[in-house]
Amino acid sequence: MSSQKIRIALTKGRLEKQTVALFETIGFNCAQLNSKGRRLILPMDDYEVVLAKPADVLTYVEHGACDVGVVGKDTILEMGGTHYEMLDLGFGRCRFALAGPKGVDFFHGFHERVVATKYPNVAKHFFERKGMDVRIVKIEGSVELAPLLAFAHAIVDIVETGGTLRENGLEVIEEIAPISARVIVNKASMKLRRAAIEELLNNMRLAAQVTG
Amino acid sequence: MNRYARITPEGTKDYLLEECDAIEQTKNALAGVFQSRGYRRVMPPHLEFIDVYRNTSASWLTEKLYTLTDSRGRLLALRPDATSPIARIAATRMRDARLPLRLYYHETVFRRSRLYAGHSDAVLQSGVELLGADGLRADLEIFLCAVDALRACGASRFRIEIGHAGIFKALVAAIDIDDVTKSALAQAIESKNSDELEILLQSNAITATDAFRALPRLFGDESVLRKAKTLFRASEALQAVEYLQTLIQYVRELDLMDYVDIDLGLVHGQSYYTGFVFRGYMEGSGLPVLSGGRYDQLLRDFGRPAPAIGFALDVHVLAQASLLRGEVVAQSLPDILVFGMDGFQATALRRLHQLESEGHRCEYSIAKTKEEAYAYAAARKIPRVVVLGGGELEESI
Repeated sequence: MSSQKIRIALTKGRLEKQTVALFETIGFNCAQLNSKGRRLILPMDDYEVVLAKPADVLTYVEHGACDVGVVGKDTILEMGGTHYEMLDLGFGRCRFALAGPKGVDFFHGFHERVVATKYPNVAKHFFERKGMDVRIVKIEGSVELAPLLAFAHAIVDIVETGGTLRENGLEVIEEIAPISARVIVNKASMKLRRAAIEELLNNMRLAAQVTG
Repeated sequence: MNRYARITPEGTKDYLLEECDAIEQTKNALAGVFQSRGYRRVMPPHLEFIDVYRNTSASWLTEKLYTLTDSRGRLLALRPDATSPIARIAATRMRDARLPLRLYYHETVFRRSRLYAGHSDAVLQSGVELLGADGLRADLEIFLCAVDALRACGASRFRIEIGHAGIFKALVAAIDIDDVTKSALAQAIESKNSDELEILLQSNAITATDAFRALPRLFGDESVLRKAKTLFRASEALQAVEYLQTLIQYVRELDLMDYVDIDLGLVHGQSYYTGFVFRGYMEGSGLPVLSGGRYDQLLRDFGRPAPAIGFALDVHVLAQASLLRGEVVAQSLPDILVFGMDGFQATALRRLHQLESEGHRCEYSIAKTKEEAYAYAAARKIPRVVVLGGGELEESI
């Protein structure tokens, strides 16, 4: 319906490399993405690619400033928002977990529990579902530090291999949710440019199967 | 402390000058469509008892509502939509009015949105409600009215997705689960998240039909309906699909297929919908500009069981789009400045009346001297100055 180029928002950093690799598998020309300099909007074949922080990917896609976004499920769970979540790319795999000092039963006793996290919404929903009242404190840096300082009884954080937890004498108490890179789509774009977006999604799905 | 005296609350804004012109123009265009189809205006209050929104099939989440209390401590809500109040009106004050009732409104609705996410908490909606009307005729009338409303606002590139609330309801009824899980399933389907849906089904040990699993993917052109028919077994879901097929035939006859998409996964956040539902998107806006559907339970909640259907448009988005397209006729500047010399102010005001009645747009000058009035007119680019003294002195600049 529109001649305007489909705009894709990519999460900068770890997911970026793998997403670009995925685009190369599809056969897109990623020259500009690989040597981007200071430009913020980069051409890739018939698409425009924008590099953004994870939370901004959600914002841009929700408002339709970008049609499609690649973002981690961790950000989607924390930020919420309105969009179609149409594809699990399978990379960037890790999980949200509740973790605490090894050998301590977090759920035992009637005392108040303090939980440190970078993801207060994820933590809040997790304990809401359990019907548990806990004090959630937002920490910006290394969350593992909070239990070591005896500031928090546990943490809610992203766990990949569990290496950082072990090194700090912590262990997973309970898994909360699996995480991986997802493709999200603006609702209006999906309806106004369905053919073009479905073509892109199909290509990404196939490439993810090949590389995954 | 006067810290907040100079700003407006988050989620609200001032609309100024040409923005207001655009909003008025949009409202007038919409009212033109609605009135020509026999819809009449109602103005429910901004404040209602919270029961209107909480203890009905509307069931708004409290955290979405702006609430306050009245002088007796009863909980009130700033209206989050106009449909519930109009259903209340149809069931109470207009109880004796003959059905169907055709009502329209222009009202601001208030919803709390996520902070700093770029949303407005006060949205001006225009919409219609066709109350006491069931079936295809009513649904078609409303659907065409929605298309015509968008066109009347100058929208040319838009799409309306069509679904049926009965499909999810019928398919989920076959599954024995609690409301929390049900709304999680609805959310997964609404966001077309097949993977999430599978995970939810597995982790809750739900055996769902292929039809249910397919819901996130059942959108696109008409062929979706044929595909759905081969999948659906629940008779209500099948009936809903067949109903949409019939409706689509008429949409084709009206030459509107270019504007239509099918979306059977359109669960719709609003819980009161019972049948045909639709949502409109327009080029230039990432958020829906139109939303509506059939709600056959809501009037019963207010004591007058009757079917109903309606839709609402986001006037601010439509107005902004017409501004960007340069289609807004701004209110024109005055073409005459009227100045009365000392002692001749009444004469000047009388002359102003006269000039107005001749069709001029006049501004009354509050300058202290004639020279000041001329300087002002020159600065404001008002082409003509009328000065009244002993006799009328008229001069152009």
